[in-house]
Amino acid sequence: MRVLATYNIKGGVGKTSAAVNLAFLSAREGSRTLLWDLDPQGAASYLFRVRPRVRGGVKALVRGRTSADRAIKGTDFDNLDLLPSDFSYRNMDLALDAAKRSTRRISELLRPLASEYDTVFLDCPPSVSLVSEGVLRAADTLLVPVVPATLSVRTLDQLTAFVAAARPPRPRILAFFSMVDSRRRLHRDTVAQLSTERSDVAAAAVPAASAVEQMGPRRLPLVAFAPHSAAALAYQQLWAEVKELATR
Amino acid sequence: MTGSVRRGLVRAPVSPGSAFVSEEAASPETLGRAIGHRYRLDADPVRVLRHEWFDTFDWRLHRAGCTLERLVPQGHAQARFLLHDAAGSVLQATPDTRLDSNRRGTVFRLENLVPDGSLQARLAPIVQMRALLKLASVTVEARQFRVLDGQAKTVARMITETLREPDRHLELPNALLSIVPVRGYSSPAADLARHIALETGVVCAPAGWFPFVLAKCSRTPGDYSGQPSWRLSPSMPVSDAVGAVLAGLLEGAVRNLPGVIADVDTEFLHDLRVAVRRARTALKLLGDTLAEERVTQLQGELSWLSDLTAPTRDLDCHLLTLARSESGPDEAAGVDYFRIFLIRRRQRAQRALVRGLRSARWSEAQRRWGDLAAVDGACQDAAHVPAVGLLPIAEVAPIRIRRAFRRARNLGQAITPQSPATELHSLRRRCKELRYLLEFFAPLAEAQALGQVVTQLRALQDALGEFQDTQVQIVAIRTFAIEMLEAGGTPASTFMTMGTAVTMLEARQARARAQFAERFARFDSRSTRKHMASLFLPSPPSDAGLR
Repeated sequence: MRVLATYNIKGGVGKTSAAVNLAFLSAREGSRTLLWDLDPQGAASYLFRVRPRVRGGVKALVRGRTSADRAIKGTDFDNLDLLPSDFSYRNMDLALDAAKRSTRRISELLRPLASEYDTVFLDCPPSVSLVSEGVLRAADTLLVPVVPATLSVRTLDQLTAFVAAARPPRPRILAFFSMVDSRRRLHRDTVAQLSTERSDVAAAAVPAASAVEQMGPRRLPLVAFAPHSAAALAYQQLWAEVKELATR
Repeated sequence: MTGSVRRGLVRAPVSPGSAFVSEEAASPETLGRAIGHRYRLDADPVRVLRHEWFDTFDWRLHRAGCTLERLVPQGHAQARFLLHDAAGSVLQATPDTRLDSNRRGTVFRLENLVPDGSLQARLAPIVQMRALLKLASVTVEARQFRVLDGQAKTVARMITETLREPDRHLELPNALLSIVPVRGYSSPAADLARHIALETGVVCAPAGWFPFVLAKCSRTPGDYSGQPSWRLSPSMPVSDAVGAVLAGLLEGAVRNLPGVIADVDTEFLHDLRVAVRRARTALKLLGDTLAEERVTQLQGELSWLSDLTAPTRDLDCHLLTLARSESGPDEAAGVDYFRIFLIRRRQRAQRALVRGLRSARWSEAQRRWGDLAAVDGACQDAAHVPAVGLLPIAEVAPIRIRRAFRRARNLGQAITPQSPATELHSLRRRCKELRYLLEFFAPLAEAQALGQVVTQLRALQDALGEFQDTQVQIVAIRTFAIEMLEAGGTPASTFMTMGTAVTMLEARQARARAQFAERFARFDSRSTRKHMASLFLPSPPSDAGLR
């Protein structure tokens, strides 16, 4: 079972859109896929029309009173299940802090699912916290959406340093540009510069497109309802790069 | 089951699943009424689908608790695979895959049938070297109804299927209704199952059409196993018991024959050879309980059959070992040349094997085998059976098994690290005979004690088998090398490959030899002896005539 986490310290950079579309692509290829919506805002749960509720909340989940297995919901798509969000996830840090081996807890919760799923996506909330540390420990690869702007790139550097300082096993990082507006010179220049300078940045760049925003009202992955749109093609290219990275 | 439907025997499903219903019960109107006001029904268009089911000859998927199905929509060049559990739930689905000419037909290697990916990887350790056979198929008109909640989320699926020409002649029930729960939403599907059960009579069919279509071909899931079974009772005359064993083994041999001749996969020949070996053991260790003349004749025929099948099997073993060994890119050319050499040899051996199996001699061997099984089985003629053959199994079996155990122990105790390979081979043969005897009389043995004995025996056999198999392969590779050298034209890289293979085999052989002492010690332990003694309690009275 490989674990991929869409993660960034910043919010609103396209983590959930990436997680939802990449999970959909993974499942469509026949890989048994689980998406865990760790964000208390529950956007991924909303997009899959799943009620953002886990019986007993985050405490029960972290303490093992509710197994992850029992909280999982099937989506409308073959091979794709969702472990939904719950508003109590806003207190996940506290729940983890109260648990033994707090930074390993997310890995431990996923371990019993290893025989059931080939791929797990973690859609993470934007923060640096105990949850983030747990995600770093659980994930094989961090997929980091980066808006091509100076501050976002600085954030990527901070994140890279944070991962490098974490205790092993450390995940690999694959950053990708998100919400790219090719009409803006800064975006064009940043994409061009970083794509050549850094090996941890994917070639795929997801454009800022109204089609991506349509995921909200349609409550579907973009790749499901507009597979030939530029953004959907970018997600497909990104998925190909993620798979290629896994073979290295 | 079909008859049950016709006679109106009704079993209501207490949980979601598949059931046969009337066509009216499968109509959108009835289903619409069943879902009530809380849900909405979203219907997909009607599609014509062909269901095809696959398994290995020995039902490895069925025994692993799953069913592999391919769904082929009419008019599409694509198909998808579904893996179901025993309850009919979908464990895994592949995306649509192009149905090219390689994927049509009835016999497949796993990798040629199931597309690369997670499902293929999941099935590979179950299927191993066996071919997947298309066991049955049926064409239906299918319609899927999605049951939506207030968020337009699919919370259950209902699928109706009716037989389509040309499969109407199968005389199966009219319509199959499947209620498929979505994970995490068990209530809607359970409500629907209850409503539909209340509205109309249904017959549960958790595995859908498959067992019904299969039954039309006079087959049932799991109807073949490499481990044959027979019914024995303690008071049965031993000659009848041996007859029953020989009959079961003959049936196994005959069922594997078409697969051997068609060269479907290596295991048909393996199972045929095992059946022959078991029969030879039965005749060797229990032949004195049957008519002597017939036993001698059949022993000759079975010996011929063993010799006939050996070359192909030996080459199969070489090729399987080669397939398992990892080679670097530098060695690829040498490995390929050696593989082609082995394949050509095998083709020749296979042609000779097929000729033999189509010969009058095989027919004669089969007749003699059948006659002995029949004469000394159900229609036993006491005039041909020696007195010992009329004794009950409960008296004879324990003595013969203990004797085989004692022989194996004596041989094993004499083996030292310096003993030649032939001595280990002899012990291996004695162990096989003991194992077969235990299998023959397993229905009469105390299960726990038998399990303990077989565990130790199997561990010892594994070490001896590894030692002997590697020995045979080392000798064969050296012989091949000499032949290749004499024939000329073999690239140097092939000889290097063969040298590497021999080195690896020698390392495996050394490991097996190192394992032997410890495994034999466990087999020869007080604990195993104790279990062996309690196999057939209470002890039968001894009889000098049996020794």
